[in-house]
Amino acid sequence: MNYYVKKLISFLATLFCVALLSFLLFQIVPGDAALSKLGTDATPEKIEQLRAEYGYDRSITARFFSWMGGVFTGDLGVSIKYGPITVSELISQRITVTVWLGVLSIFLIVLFSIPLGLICAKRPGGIVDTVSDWIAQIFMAIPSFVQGILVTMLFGLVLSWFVPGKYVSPTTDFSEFLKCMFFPALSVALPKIAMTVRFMKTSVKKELKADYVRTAKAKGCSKNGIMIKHVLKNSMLPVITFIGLIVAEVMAGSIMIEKVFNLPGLGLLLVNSIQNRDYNVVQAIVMYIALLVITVNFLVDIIYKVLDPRTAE
Amino acid sequence: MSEKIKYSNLNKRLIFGIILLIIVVAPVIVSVFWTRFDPNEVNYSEMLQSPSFKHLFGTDDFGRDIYTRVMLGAATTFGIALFTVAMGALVGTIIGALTGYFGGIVDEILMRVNDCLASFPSILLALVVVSLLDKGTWDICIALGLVFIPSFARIMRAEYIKEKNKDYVLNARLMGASHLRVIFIHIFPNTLPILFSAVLVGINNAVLAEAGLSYLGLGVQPPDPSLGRMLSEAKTYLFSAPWYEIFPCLLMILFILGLTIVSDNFGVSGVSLNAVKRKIAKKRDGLSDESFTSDNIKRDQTTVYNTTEETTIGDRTTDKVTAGKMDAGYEKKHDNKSGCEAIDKSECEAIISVRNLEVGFIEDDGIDDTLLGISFDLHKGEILGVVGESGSGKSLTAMSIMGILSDKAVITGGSILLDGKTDLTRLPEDEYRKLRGGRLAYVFQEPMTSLNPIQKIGVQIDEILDIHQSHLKEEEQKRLVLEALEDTGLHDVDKLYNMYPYELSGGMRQRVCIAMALVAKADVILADEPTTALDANVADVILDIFKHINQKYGTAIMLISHDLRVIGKLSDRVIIMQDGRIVETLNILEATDVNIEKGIDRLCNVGVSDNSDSSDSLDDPDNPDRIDIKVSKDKNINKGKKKDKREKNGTIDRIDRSEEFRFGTPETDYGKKLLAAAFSTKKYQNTEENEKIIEKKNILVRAKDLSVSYKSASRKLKGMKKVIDSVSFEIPEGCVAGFVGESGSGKSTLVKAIAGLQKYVEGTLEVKGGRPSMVFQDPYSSLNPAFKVRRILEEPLRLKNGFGRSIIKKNRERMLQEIVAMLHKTELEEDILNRKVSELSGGQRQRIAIALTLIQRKNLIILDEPVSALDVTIQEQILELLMKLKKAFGLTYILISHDMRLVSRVCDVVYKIEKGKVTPHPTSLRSATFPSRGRRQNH
Repeated sequence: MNYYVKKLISFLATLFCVALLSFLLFQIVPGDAALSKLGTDATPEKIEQLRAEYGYDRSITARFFSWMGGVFTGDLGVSIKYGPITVSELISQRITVTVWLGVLSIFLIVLFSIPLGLICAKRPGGIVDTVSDWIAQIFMAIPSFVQGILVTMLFGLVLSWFVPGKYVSPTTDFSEFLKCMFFPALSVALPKIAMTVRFMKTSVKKELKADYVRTAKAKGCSKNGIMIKHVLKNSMLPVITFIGLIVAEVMAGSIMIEKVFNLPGLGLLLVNSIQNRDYNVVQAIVMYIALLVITVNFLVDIIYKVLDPRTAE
Repeated sequence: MSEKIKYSNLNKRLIFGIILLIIVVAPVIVSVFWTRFDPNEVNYSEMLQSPSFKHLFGTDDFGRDIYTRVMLGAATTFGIALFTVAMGALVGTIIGALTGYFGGIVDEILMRVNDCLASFPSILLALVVVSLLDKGTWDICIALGLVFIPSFARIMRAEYIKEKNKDYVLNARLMGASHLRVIFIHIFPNTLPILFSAVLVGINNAVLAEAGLSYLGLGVQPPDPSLGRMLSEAKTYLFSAPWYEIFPCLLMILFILGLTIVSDNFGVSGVSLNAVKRKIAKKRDGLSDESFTSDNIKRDQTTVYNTTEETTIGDRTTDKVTAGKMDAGYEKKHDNKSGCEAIDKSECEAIISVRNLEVGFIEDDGIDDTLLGISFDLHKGEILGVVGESGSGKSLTAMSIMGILSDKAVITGGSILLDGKTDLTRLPEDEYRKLRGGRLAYVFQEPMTSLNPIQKIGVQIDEILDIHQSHLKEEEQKRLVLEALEDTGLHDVDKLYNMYPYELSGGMRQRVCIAMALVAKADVILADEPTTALDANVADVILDIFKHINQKYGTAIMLISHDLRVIGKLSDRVIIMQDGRIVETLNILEATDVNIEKGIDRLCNVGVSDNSDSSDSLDDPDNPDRIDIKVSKDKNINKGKKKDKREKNGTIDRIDRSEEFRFGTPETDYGKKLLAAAFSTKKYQNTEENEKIIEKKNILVRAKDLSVSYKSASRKLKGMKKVIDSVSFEIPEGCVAGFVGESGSGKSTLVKAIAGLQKYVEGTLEVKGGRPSMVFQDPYSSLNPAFKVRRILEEPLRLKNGFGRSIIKKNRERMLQEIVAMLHKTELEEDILNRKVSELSGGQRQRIAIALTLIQRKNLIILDEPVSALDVTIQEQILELLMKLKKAFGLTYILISHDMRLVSRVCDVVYKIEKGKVTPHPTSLRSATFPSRGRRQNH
């Protein structure tokens, strides 16, 4: 079977599993949203009425299939907190911010970590290596929201490169929107850059020990030639997989960072909805975030295949 | 080098990390038991005070002491992290171990679920779980613990999948260990290093996750402190009271930093390679003047060759050795050569002259000198063989010449002269680079990995021209590349140009590697075990290519091999190396009439002395036809004609001694030993005894219509795949039964079936005396690397006597006695008991593997390629030992091998396995069903 078809099938299968998991996770909720909306002094009749309205009185399988149907038709019920607005509307308003935050972060990660990793691995123990290693370790040790606060302080308040808390919607002015997104994306990316540089370094070091590098050296290839012509592409392969893996972490980071920068994305909505026990929304967001992650991983698989001709058909 | 260069191997970073962790954790632990202030005591009169003696870290917005709160908060945070990681690691390890080891449908489902879980960001899962549970500290622990399970399960599963196919696991199963015992006693210790680093990373992540949850208001609830909560509470006071934010942040950073540094540097050597290399270079520069004069050259080696060293290098004349040491009765091969009329000294120029070369490895405890001052010349147009056992320094020599030593290896003395002028060891890297690939070329042992896997063949060869002949036009370059490929006998070179290495077979890749040496018309090719990784028939072709190149272009070739047969086929001279020294140099002789006469003389002598059964020998020396064939073959080579394939195959099964004579007579003991081992014809079959065994007809293993199948791995081919197809054979007690076949013929499946480790077996298979024990091919993987020798050898006894703590204690002395007794039987010393397998040599390991089978006291032992991973001389010793033990214990062996030569020397009965079919092999001394009494009667 064609590699791409195979990947597509496994992609769809994972999608289904993720939807199933997102659904099941919320079946263990003690008490339901109806109860939490009405408060403790609600009469049993009122609760029953609201439950019927939300469909909580049906069996699990019936609810699953109606929910899955909703996933495809875009009807995921209404938000309990935000009243008449449906979950889908709510999410479609917010998803742009999260997607752009993720895309920008990944762009920054790739942009910085690959050349840095190469330089560090070329001269292990050199100045660049030592300094960047220490910086990387420190960044990895700071919780992401603290980094967000630090970025706000340094670039927002001290250097005044951006106005903290300012947000322009992409429909009004797209370039302004991107400007607003840059520093949050940087905050999301920083710890991941640190991780990726370290990973890239390990990967390059491993490749440098490979037999084909010895062959290249025996050909008379210079150090730079070996790095660029042979090692770079080979050592990128595991890094691509690694970036696929940290996409989930980037998403996690954006949940925090959206709160720090007060960006109206899925993360902020999620945090608020959890506090409001608005499970219809939480469930949908959990699924959408997983969906984003799976989609990126699917793309990563395809990029991998293009770069590495050996990947099994 | 007489004086050792001293350096420190202390890993300062590791120590720094440990100290950092102690500094961070110690006050936290103290605070758990005693604090100056109540962490939750509100005191509005002391709000947001800056650090002072009273409040070391200042106070917060409620006037609470920040030091106390940071320390207790850290205790909570670290406690949560430890608990969650412990929970994740424990549950994850169990799940990963069971699914990884057993595989199957449960594994499939669990891993699918795991994949899906991995697409949820971990903090998201924790968030949801916490929100679904409650907001207490325990709920956080459980939520985070649950989140950590999948990643540990994934890591451990991968480890178990990797480990479960290793031979030591099979060995443990053969001894009768249960699956659970294998999983948790045998495999688990081997996964510890990975688990350790996963735990450290886990703690790091857990600390950060706790902080994240607290920031979102779902962590530890007020008023109790935790690092995460303090960080998020303090953010409002970032400008007015920065200490509020800084101290918890600092503690967290230092803790995680300490952990990362420890985990990064654990078990890593602290030796700075560059610093040591600089020291050595400086020292060598100091000595440089002296080492260039011949007077200083040591002559402590017992080499035939060191006469050369008398020639002054500055004013190089020629090599007098060969002439001097040449046995006058033997004709020299050089006579036939165009490039180098050997005796005529002026024309026999050395292209590479190695003088007193010393190379060492930078180890933790000093420099491990590996090449101890070797000297030799590589002449223009000659093929120089270098032979020696593993660790003798052959490859190191070649890599030194090429200047591609590994990071840890360093030249500590001597020189390598190119054309008698340029000292390569002191050549600046930029100029050296121009020589590599240009005048010097290298062919590596591993064609499978020596090419860049994701670059096209053509591009990889073209690169050499890009570097060395960049003035050429692109079309010209391509033409040269195609020409070089054609020169190595490859067809369809246009298509090959655009192919990737993975599309080629091993033999083709090796030709590509040779083409790389050809494309820039190198003067010297260093071929490092170029055929070792290839099948026998492909190897011969590759050797022919080298010969062809040597004759066509007059390229000097240095051919390194552990195999004297390979060397003998090609070389003009052979250097024998041992333990970093050149033991002696031999000239390969023409198979002329004189040679043969001498050879026959020698053969007769040898035959009488080391082989009591010589008249039974397959290569009957009284049969002149064989040697005549040999002669004509050799003459053919010299004329550059292609060898006749059929002829080669015809003699492959026979023990070809004429090859041995071509090496002449070694002068040193080691040379003799090496030659004797490589060409040993000693037979181990004892005919008289065998008669008795066969007459008794006591059959130990009987197979009738035996079929063994595998469940097909790929889903396309549903159902079973027959690997062994209705075979029948009998193995009588007390004999050595050989099974010969190529890889993939079903050998190992059959062995596993006999050992009772195969699932889908049809037909009858009787094995008397229960499960046999087994000696594996690779002694590096068949003994558990996590155990000490004593523990390995105790295992069968523990399994037999029970492994309760009290029983083991009671039996300790008795077990030790039994183990020591068996060690002595395998000619090992007791002091080996407290060492780990990794500290032992291959031969020692194989002896331990044998002792392990003896301790099991089975009378049937399966030997799966028992010597093929060992050096030649060790091979002979192990064979000798095995045969001695067979006699002493009355054992029966089943020998699995691809080596017909070995089988014919050892086995009483030989079966051939081919595509799942077993047939009695014609060379069997007695055919399997014993209809005749063997060939002996025919003589």
